[in-house]
Amino acid sequence: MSNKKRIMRFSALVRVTHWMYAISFIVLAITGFMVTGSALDWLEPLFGGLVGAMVVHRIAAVFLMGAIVISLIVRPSEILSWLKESFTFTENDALFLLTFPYKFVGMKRELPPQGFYNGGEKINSLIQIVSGAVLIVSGLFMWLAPGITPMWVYPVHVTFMVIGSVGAIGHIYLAALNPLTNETARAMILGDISEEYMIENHRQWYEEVYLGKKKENNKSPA
Amino acid sequence: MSRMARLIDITRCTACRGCQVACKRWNQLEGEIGPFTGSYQSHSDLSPNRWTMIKFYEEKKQTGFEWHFRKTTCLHCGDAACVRVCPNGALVQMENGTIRRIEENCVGCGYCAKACPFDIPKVDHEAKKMRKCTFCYDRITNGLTPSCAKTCVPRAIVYGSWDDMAKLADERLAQAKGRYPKAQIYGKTELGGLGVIYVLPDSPANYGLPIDPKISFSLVFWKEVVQPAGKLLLGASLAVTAAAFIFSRRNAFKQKPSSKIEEGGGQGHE
Repeated sequence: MSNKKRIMRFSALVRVTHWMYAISFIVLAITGFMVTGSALDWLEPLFGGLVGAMVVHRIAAVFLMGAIVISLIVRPSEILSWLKESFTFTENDALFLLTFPYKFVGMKRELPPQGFYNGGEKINSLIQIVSGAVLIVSGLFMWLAPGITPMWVYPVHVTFMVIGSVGAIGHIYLAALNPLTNETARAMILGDISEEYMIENHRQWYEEVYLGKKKENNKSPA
Repeated sequence: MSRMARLIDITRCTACRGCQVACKRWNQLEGEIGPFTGSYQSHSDLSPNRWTMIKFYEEKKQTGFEWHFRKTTCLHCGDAACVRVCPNGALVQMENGTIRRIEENCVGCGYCAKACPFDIPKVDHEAKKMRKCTFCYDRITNGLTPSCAKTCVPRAIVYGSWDDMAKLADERLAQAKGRYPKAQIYGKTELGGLGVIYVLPDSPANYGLPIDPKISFSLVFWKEVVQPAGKLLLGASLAVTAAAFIFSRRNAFKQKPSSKIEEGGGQGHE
């Protein structure tokens, strides 16, 4: 049997704000799609028609922004280190992406040692950071100052809604449904992962924690 | 029913504002007392309860002081930006050219007000509905004349088929050329032909009309590129992840046991 040792991966703050963001994001995507598309119009009665959906859209937007504000106020260092990590793309992250198509369809491949976040997680983070920032800024203009908001802001909002949603669909699949990676769903709910998963998927992080290796060391050990 | 139009002849308008009153009466719109606008103009702009009004344009020329009055109203464009932008199918173009608003579909989002090159739609924020000129759709589909055209004393507003109004505009232009050498027609070619054809004494810019009204590139890009491509991408990503989900389940059982499968998923399999 596997080693029963559990490792703490996500702090309570990260987990709470992650789900706060995730739930608001899904509500925003659904209510937003009602305005731009027609495939979800049958859900309108649930929100009190399109008028109600637009109210829910704004309430969810406040919660989504709240998730960011709370995490930044409570644990700024944790959020900043995530941002820093996301914007640091190493050679091993690039090599991870080569193995990613296999992982995506559930075929196991030897991974180059990955840090706390693997190359794919970093890309997902970047997609959400960039699209989130654009959506929040453009959305605030559309909500609070429709009179002075130029027309091009609307297609920009829709474009980044699509980018963010496509990223989120991939993220939800990988985190919750893919049998190779869905252990991370537990990590985002209960906070911990197995040592075995840590070694298999985040070897560099494991070595940093247990063998005291430097982060700069990207070469895999012999 | 063929396409219908109104001819609005600014060279004949006397600013009696009979059309403003007739519109209010037929459509049962409540009167609104506004602040003094600094001129004879009754109000500063259209409102959810004011679908037409006379705007006053004062001009000082070498020949003397000139005063022009333009009836502002929805122009029922041939290619209407509001119809393109409406997210809920609340604005539709009828066979007779009317840009018609479907009451129950309108949620008062105001996108039409933003897209309209003529700044016509006005949103009633309390009722969450946009309101604008209906081209007296109820009247014209029952063989009557729009109430503004019916009441117009100097025949500055004439209602008829679009082709007839285009012809009449040419006649009126010829008549006006003597007094207004720079007179011109507005609305025959703009935006697929407008449902209102103006005879103007001078350049449209002098009467608050855009010289070459265009549907903004952002709007076309939004509706013709971003939305169809976005729907395709969202649908494709759902389909790809669904397929990957099925493959990954099948593949997972063929692999050597991973930490996850060993915990529960893989018993009974190799």
